[in-house]
Amino acid sequence: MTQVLEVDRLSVTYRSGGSTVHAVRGASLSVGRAEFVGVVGESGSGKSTVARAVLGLLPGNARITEGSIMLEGRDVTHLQPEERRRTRGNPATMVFQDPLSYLNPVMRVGEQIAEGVRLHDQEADVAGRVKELLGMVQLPKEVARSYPHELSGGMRQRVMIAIALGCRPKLLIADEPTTALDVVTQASVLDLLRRIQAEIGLAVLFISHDLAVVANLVDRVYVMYSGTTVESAPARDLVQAPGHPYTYGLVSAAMVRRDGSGGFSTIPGEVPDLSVIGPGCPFAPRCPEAQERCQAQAPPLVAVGGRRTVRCWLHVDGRRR
Amino acid sequence: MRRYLSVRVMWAIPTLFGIVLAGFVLTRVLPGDPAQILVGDFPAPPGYIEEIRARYGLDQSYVEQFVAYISSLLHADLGYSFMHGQPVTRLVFQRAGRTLLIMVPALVIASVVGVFLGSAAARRQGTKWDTLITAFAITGRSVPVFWLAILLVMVFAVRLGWFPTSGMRTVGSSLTGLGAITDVFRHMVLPMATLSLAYTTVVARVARTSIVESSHEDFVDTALAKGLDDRAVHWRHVVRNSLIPVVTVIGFNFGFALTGAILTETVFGWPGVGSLLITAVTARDYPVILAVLLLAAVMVVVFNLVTDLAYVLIDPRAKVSDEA
Amino acid sequence: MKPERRRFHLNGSGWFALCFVALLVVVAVTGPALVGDPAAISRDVLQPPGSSHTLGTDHLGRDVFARMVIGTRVSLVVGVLAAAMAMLIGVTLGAVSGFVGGKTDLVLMRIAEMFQALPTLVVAIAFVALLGASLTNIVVVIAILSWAQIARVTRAEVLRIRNQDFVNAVRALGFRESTILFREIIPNAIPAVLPLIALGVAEAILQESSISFLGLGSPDTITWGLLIREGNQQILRAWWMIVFPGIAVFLTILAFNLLGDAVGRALNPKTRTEEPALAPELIAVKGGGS
Repeated sequence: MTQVLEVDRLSVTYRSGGSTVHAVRGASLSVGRAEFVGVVGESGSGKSTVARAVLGLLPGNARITEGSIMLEGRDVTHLQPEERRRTRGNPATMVFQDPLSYLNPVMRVGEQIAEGVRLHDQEADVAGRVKELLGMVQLPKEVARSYPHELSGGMRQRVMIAIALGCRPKLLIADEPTTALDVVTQASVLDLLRRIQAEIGLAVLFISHDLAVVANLVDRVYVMYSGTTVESAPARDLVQAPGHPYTYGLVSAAMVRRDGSGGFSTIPGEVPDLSVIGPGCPFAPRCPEAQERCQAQAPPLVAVGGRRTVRCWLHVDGRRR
Repeated sequence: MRRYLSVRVMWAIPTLFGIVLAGFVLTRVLPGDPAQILVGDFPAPPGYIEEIRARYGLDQSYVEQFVAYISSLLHADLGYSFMHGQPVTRLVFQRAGRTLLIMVPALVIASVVGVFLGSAAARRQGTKWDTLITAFAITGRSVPVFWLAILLVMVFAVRLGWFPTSGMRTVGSSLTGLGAITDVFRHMVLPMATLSLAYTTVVARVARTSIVESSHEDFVDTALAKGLDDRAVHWRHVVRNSLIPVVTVIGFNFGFALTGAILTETVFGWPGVGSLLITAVTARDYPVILAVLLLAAVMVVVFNLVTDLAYVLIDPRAKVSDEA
Repeated sequence: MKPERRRFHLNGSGWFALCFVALLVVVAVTGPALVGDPAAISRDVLQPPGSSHTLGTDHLGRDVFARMVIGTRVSLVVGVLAAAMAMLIGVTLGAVSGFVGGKTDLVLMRIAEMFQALPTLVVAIAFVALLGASLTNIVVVIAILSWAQIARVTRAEVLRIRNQDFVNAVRALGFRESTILFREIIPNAIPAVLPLIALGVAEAILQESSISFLGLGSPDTITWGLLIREGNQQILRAWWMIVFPGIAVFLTILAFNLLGDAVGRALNPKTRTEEPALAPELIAVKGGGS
């Protein structure tokens, strides 16, 4: 069965003020039909860039230098702008982080939802469909006449989801959709997302820096570091038995141990400068398990059974942590 | 919203009052006999000056004078112009009508064309079209309107003979009906073109800057993510969000239309309120000068108010904030 | 404490503007001594541009080029004086308003708003008509009509600066408030106002030429506006009387406008690579208001 999204060894570079930034290098991920997949990484890991690349929303000074992106089996990496536009909304669309700035302030919310419907749902009774979509995100139909600034943060994010759903997408990419919300609202929006995903069988790619949120939500997780995918695994396996040292650090930092042992654990060091690529593993400078080989040569991505992959020398020879 | 509007209206009233007061003070402050000033520099029948003195209560206290002044204003009595042999009110209204005849179409054309030009420049940011349009806008800002008017007359009226050089009607002709209308129209073209050119450059520049700014906003990404095409994103999202500065400048243009009128009408000999002011100034016809001043100030205040109203209509957030 | 440091770049149009203004200054200072007598009536009436009279002669046989050179001095002087006066009034009132706040602020800004609502040319004409057409009057009225915008921008800057840390630091050292205002805050607010000054000069020259063109300027002074007015009366016979003085006015206003834009771009780190974020006529409406 074709994957809804298949990103294969993607590399994206930006030219910024005279220097070249390697935002994404050799990242690979895939999302199957009705799969709920998460991508976790710090800022600078390239996760948002991958998302925008999938939708063809990269800024003018960015280039896809290597790799490919396939949507429903179709290679969209180097399409002409007009062709690329036809892949947006359907099959793939996106929900963004801050619904206040990402919604048009002078247009009624219902109208913004209707735009997507009119474009992708030719047969539909637009007004009726808008009401239906609002119902799906658990908002009363009166909200359609409101303007974004009249709604609360949680309501706005639900509107963004409704806008996305109106396009009848096969793949929904959510770029940090709850980061701007308070914890309680966050929980309800995530809950909504999970239910919709299950109900209509939508493939979702959920991007976040918060492993705790992602792990409880998705089926499978990709971990990104410094522009590349360093590990992927089913969510529970990832948390219970992390393969990559970075993932281990993330998990330790995210989990507050109930037995009160020790303080917060952090990963020492800093995220590397993306305009400089060294020959070795990008995590090597901060890795507690680093060996000589790690600085000299970048490890390949290997499958380690149980639908898991890891990019680390520790696993290449079949050794397991 | 209602509260916001009533606040703005309330502020307009003292401003108008201030203008009226200023007009009053001006006539009293000038050296010489105020009655004579009100009559102007023209030989008036001897009894008239006494009549004026009595009517405006110039032999009474300043407060009583001011009250009399206000009451005459409210009766739309702005005095009498001996130079033109008409009551000032009627004179000004008649001339104002002629000014509007060239001003309103010119402003409307300028606003529409200006927005399209600004939009075109914004969409092709950085290309030679953008540079061209921006250069056009900066040039427009720097060309004196009266010089532009004269140049147009020199080229199109004198050299090419396509249009008449001045006036509103061909002198000595007795055209009626459609012929008369066409005649007036031919006389309108050059003054309108001058005004349009001048105002278009201002609008275009503001529109371009505002649209470029809006195009960097986040909601553009959402619109793109829906799969909307370039044109829909540009007009329905970007331009709609960039209208406020444009509306401001259009309101500004309307409010200050008199300034443009003065210069254009002088060059083209167009018998409107602008040229009226100049002839009145040269001839020291004070009642007319004051009346036109009052008109100018009122126009500005009124259009400020209209612009504020327009904000509320365009931007739903304006209802909530205190000031636009 | 030194004003905040900013880097200074000029692009092509900025350099043109600077050079042109420098040229104008040179012409204004040295020109009158070098050209012939601008009032010299001769028999070479209405001569087109040629070898003996570079830009032609007018209806009284006077040399157009000489008259233009004399006019340069007047235009520059009026423009600079008016802009300087507007700046003096505007910066002072704006700074006081922003610094003191409260009722003073409210009142001053309402007054500024009302002044800004006055249509410049109309009021200038009225002023000159009622009080006499001397150069002084013209300079004064233009200054009176332009201070408001400068005041609003200054006020906005002062509001921004007075909350910065270094101000509190100086205050903690025990300096008087007025000293702080004049020695620390205003110098840091001035850079934001500089572009307005150049633009103010452009505007002043435009107004002055309009007033002269209308015949309402000082009758004894040779100004470019006056030259164009005389040219207008010879419109059928002597295009050079109109075109050349007009080009002078146009290029001068253009140069100062470009200079103002360039200075604004150079001093504002945010918009250094693009056009200024707001057209100057809107800065007062959007940026300076409370």
